[in-house]
Amino acid sequence: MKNRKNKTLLDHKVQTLTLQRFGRAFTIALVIVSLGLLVLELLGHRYAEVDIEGMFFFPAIFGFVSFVFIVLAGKLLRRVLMRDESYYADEDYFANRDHKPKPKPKPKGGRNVN
Amino acid sequence: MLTSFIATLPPGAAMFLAAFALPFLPSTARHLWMLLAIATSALTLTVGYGDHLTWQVFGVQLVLYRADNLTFPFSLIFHIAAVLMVIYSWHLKQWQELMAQLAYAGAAILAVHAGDLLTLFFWWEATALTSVFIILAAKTRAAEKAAWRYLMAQVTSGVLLLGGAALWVMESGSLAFTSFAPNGELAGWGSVFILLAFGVKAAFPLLNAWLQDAYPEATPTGTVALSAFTTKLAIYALMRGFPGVEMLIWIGAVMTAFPVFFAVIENDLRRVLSFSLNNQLGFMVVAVGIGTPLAINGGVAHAFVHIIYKALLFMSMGSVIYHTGTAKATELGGLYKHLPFTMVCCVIGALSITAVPLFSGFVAKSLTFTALGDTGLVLPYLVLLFASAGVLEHSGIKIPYFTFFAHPTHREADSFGRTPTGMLVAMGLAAVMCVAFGIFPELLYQVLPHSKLKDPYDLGHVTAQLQLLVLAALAFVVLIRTGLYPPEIKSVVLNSDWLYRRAAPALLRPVLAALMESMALADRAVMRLGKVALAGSNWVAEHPVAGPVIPGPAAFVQALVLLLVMIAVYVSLV
Repeated sequence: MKNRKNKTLLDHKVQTLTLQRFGRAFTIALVIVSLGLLVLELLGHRYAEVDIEGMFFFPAIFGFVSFVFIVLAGKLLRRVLMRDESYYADEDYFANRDHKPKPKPKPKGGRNVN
Repeated sequence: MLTSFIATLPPGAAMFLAAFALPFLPSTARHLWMLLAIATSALTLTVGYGDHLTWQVFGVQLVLYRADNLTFPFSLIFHIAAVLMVIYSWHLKQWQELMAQLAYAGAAILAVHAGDLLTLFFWWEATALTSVFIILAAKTRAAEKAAWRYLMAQVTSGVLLLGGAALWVMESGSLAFTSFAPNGELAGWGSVFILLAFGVKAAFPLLNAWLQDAYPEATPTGTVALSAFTTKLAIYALMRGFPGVEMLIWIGAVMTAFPVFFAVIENDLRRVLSFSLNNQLGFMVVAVGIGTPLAINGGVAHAFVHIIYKALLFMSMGSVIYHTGTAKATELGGLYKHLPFTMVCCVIGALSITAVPLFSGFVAKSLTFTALGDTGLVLPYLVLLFASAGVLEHSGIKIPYFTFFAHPTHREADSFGRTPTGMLVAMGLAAVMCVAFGIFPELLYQVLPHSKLKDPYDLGHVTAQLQLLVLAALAFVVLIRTGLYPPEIKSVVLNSDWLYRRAAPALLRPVLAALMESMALADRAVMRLGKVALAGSNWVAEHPVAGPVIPGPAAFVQALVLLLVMIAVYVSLV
């Protein structure tokens, strides 16, 4: 039992370290690619469909700001739109009104086998 | 002989008819039968373009099988989706769900090939009736309730279509299913009703709640089937009926943006995917609104690849539910260790929907963005750009992150059984297609309706897309590391279904109660009046003015007889 618990704790620790490693690698990769994209921007290798998109590093800034806005706006929206999981549960009141559980039939006579 | 007979059937008919044989087949043969039906149906696609089957009914010409450059890509992808659906549900033994799936896919394909409004209406309703059984197959109370709400929305769409068709025939004199908006303008009330009918099925803003309500309640296999057909049939119908209607650019832009905010706070990851589906439909509706050949190509390409990557995402969530019994973000995390193949497939689906270069979504979306840029409309363009960052948030990051990473899992490895082979094969096939269409866009481009195309892989375009996505992903990292990214919470998120699940009952219940109370009052008043009248007549009968005393009732009978005689005499005289 104790061995099993130790194994679980060890496994948990290994997973934590692995996830941290994933996170670090992901972050580093993103930073490197971002710098590469900045270089390409400075070299003028970018296409713009509309005029405003032609501003310096526009898609990057727009993407970053949009993402932050979505998450932070989501935080505010939680107060307005979020309800408890049981919010719609009492809809069953009307649905079940005519479906009351039937009383269990009384056992008919006969020998008690117990 | 048989081949020539089959070739005259409309595509989908073989599937729809074959579905009714499924209950009588042994469970081991059902999936092979379904694949055979799909292959037979696909065979009928080879007869080429034109009207291949028409019926004259009461002087009206019904076109049951029309094939052209717009029906072909939709019909083809519906067949591919049906194959994926069958393979994914290979472990399923219940004939009820399989029958509903095959009939539903067949009805959707038949609807695509309808050349007149009456045939379209028939198969439009058939998709509604067959798909509701897929939701009911989950056999939960929540699914049952959602299924009836879903049916209500779908039947409303059908009624609007029938009403719109009747008006359209009166206005234009034609039953043909062609454009209802010549020169990009709606022509009369008929076209307005038809647009609304298509809008319900395409999940326009405020008409969308059935989608997020019902899809996540179906079985894991059922949701995969549902995600493919209904909404894309609506997109096809919009492309056929309302190309170039500018209003659709704005409706589509709203559709891309508003689900983003719901998806970010939703806890049920299949519901997140349903909001994401709504957002993707928005891109296609924008393409319909632009209506140029390039935009229509973009919309068709988007629908084509979307069916595959959305099915892949729903399939990977289905695999997670198969093993854990839940798709709630609060109860998942760290599954990369136990479900590595599902994780890889999910990430490929996420990269595709996010439109990362070398994945299918990028190839399709770049067509729509270029077409929108050509219109010179800046605001919708920026809204779509914003929505693209939103797609990255909810489908690109939230789905894989909260399912497979986020934190270590406490689930024991022993609790994970073997994933059914069919599930793995279907996910693998869909993932391969996502990558293949991304790397070789010409595979996709050759099925598109128009020749107007562009190469998505020029450096300037790839750089712009990567800037948007990479920096948005960096924003996620910053928010997570600074603790600003909010944790998931067990909850329900209010959607437009709140209007008929909560607001309408809350408003109407007092009105109904007042009405019933006033009816009861009137009833009591009438009873009281009757009693008073009876008592009065009794009193009169018991107190005669003069003459011999006769019993009260006898006096009444005499009076009545006298009255009748007088009336008869009067009538005869007149």
